Amino acid sequence: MKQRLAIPLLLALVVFGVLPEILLPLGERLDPYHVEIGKRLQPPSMQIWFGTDSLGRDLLARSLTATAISLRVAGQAMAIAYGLALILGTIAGYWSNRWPDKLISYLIALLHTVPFILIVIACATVLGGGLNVIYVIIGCVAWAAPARLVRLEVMQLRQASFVRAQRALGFGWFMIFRRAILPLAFSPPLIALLFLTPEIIGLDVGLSYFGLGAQPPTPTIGRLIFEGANNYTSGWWLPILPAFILILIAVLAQKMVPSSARNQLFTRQSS
Amino acid sequence: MILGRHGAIISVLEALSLLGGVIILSFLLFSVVPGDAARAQLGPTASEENVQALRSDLGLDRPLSKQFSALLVGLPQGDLGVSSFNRQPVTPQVLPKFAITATIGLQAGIVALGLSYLANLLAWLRPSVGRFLLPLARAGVMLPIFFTTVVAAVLLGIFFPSISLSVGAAESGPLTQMIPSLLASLYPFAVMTAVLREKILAASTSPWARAASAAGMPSATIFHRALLRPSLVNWLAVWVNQISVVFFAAMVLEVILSIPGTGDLLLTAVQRRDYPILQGILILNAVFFAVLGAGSDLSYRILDPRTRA
Repeated sequence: MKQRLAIPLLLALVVFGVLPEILLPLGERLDPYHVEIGKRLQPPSMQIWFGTDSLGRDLLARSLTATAISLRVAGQAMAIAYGLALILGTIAGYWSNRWPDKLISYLIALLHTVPFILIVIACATVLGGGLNVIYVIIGCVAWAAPARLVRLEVMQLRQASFVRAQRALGFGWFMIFRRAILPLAFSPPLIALLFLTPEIIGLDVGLSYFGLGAQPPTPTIGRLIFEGANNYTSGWWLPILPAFILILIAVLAQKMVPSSARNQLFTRQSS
Repeated sequence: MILGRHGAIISVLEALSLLGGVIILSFLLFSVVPGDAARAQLGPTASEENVQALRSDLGLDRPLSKQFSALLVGLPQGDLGVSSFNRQPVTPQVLPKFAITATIGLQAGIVALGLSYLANLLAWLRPSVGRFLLPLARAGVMLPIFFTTVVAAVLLGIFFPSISLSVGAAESGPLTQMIPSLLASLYPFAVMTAVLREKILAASTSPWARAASAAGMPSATIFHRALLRPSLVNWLAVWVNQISVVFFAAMVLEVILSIPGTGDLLLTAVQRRDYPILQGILILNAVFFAVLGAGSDLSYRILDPRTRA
């Protein structure tokens, strides 16, 4: 899987680094916390694009703030997952079929024994949830699939002639890692993580959906959907418009991954 | 020996070791990390006597080794402890809910499996249909379960307000019972169609596929014998992977469509900080997925001689 990394990387930086910083002040300016009972449950219109909720709060402002928070959590989680995948995947691949590899592969298999969302919910319940905790938890779960890719890549690289030559020349493992393996092994997990963006956002949304994300009154996508779904009879826009944002994110995520890599990732994730 | 010499035994042992890992880790998470589960459950305002009473009720005042051995002894008998909220045994509370989620999940999985096969067969036999069918199927990846479920809930609420989606609800026909499964099957259908397509295309350039078409075999036969067969293992591996995604989807839609499944139970257990229930859900899922994993390992060996080495 050797494809150009510049465009996906740039897009990822924009989506996870720049976009939240734009959306957050935008949402704040519209004021997501401003209660105005007189304007409650207004349907979407030219003035109020997303309508208002049962307390008269602007749903667009709440959705923008929630999206910014979600993207930030996902970006932080992916940074952690990327670091873990690179380190643990390299260790497992370099010492493949010895105890470090067996241990790490066991951990990966263990993470896949229970649906991710349950692990994340269990940890967040015990640790108390909240924005400072959930990105660490999601990061500590999401590394498994990309780490498998790193492991495979490193296992192949270890057999490559230039690595064998370096070993024959007496280079230490650290030097070999830095010079020969990392430059080639760092892009597959990144692509894989970008590809997993909808699932990582899904974990974050799931956590806030089950009440473990940022605490009210801070809006989160999961909570907006949950509360909207609970009283969708008073307004169809309450759950549907916040949920629609997830489609936009999924489409963006598709654009971040080169199409040539997409199908390979579907298959390689599981093998 | 179709299963290889020790293949079957190794698969079972692997599943058991994973199950053991989940049990140990969930014990660490729920019994060691919180320090004081009774205090966590009752909140900071509860009096010390009440906390102490709950502690002895739940057996939390015993040493950790005793608690762990109690968990291990109880498990084979299906005893997962007592809920810290209503003090009732965990198993009868979790099991029926899990059965509902598993039903939705497996139904969705089977629907996705069948539809992705049909979509690929159609695309192979009629490339002109496939040209717009496959991208359409693939677009399912971009429809999160949160969105599809909410739309379904709103539409059902507007047009069929009388329908109840609860599994086993007397008034609901078999078709309405399929609605949750269909919603949950959208994403795995998209993924599995894409994977199978990829594998089919790869196999179609193989010498045996060319030989088959040169020999004048009908297209459908080529598809089944020369293309599907070598793709089976990858396709099923993705399927097994997708089942856990489907379970997540099922839990989400259970909450929105008010189906009394695991999602519902999860919601209340999180609110009540009911660790034993959460632990029960985790372990039950681990048992399910460990069995699924071992079963799929065995099925690969049966389906594909290349994995029997």
